Amino acid sequence: MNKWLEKGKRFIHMDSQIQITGSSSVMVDGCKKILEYNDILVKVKTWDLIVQVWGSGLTVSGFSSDIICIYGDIRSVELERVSA
Amino acid sequence: MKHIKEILSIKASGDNIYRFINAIREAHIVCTSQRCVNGIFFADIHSRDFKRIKSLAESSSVQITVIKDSGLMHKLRQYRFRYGIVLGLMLMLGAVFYFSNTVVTIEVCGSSKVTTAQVMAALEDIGIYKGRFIPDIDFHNAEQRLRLSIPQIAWTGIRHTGSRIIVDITEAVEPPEMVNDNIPCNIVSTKDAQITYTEVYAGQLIKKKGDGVRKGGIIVSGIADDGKGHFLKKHAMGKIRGIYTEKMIFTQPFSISGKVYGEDIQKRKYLDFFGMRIPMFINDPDTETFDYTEQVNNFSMFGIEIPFGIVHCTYEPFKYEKTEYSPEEAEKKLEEKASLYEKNFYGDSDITVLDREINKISNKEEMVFEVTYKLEGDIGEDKEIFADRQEWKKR
Repeated sequence: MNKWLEKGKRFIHMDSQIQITGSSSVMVDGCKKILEYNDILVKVKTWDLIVQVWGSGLTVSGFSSDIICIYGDIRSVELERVSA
Repeated sequence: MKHIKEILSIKASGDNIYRFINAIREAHIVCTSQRCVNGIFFADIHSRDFKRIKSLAESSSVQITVIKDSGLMHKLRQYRFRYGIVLGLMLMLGAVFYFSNTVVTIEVCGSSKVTTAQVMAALEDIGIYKGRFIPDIDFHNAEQRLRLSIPQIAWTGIRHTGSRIIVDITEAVEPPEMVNDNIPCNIVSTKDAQITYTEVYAGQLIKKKGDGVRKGGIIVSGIADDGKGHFLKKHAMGKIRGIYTEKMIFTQPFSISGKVYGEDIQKRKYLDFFGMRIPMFINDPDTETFDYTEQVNNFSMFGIEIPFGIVHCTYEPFKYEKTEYSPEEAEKKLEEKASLYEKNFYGDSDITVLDREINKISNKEEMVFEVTYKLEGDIGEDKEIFADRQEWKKR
């Protein structure tokens, strides 16, 4: 069932997309909610993932409801599957 | 664009800060430079979204405050009551419009015989002068009128680059005088004279050096006999010089009404600003009649003359008064007149003044110099031969 769900999401482009540019910005497409937010950690929830961006001096710019851009000195990006 | 629109930097704090952050995102509000420091949320938003942000903050029980207002629109709004700036801007725009559409300088190129002042005067008559509105000028028509008003001009082109009018001129080249040596003619004397020099290129010399000749008398004949009973008509050519007398009368009245110049020459200055003259004095010259001369000294910038300078005006006052001359003064004046005449008429030409005899005649009203000049110069003149064809046939 999960396998078909994954295929369906990819087919209608609902899957999350994360674009990392160097160590200065991370763009998360498919953002559903910002869970935690400070200058060293930005934690956002997408459809099926929790994306944790670690770094220093982090700032966020949002231009639409689904896409957020995280800027700053990015050290790591962690992905965690959302538990059912 | 970022710097044109009004940007508000806001600070939000409260218990439900993440609810507020997500509410902004879900409301599709553009929110940049978001950062959270010690539980306080900072962000930049457009001023037009502030009302929505405020209502979101109220619904999330978050307190927001504006910490900075920036952007061009914000700056402009700060200056909206500075009428001086607005007036200055309008004046600047007006000046730009004026100097882009009015004649500020006129340059004349390519003239040598025709003086620039002559061209400028003609242009003023045509309607091209400093301060004229350029779109009103019909350049094609002006070119034709300028060509007609100054006959020495063969071609003219008038164009403008910005506020500068450039008048290109090509002057007419006069064709050299043609000597038509096909027309039969004699060389006759223009004066009663004694011949001192002869140089004949064509024709038959009738008088020789030392002979006297009357005015109109033939010196070199264009008619020649070929020895077989045929007369040939030629164009006589040669150089004939002779000694002759010429009488000139110079008159000087003892009493004459004319200009008498005063010594108090007055000078005034104007500031020439793109053709507009701003007086740099308070009082006008206090003289009714005067001779006026002016000189314009333009300032230079980086070696280029700019249409901005000082006009130096000179007013030389005079009065029409009766001037009395003593006989000595009148004689001196007459000598000056005679000398000036000799300089003008005999100075540069081939004529040599050999002698002069002055007969002074004086009456109550005037003194007269009757000057008899003994001169040496060209006396030959071409005179066409007109002959009846029938008469020639009889011969």
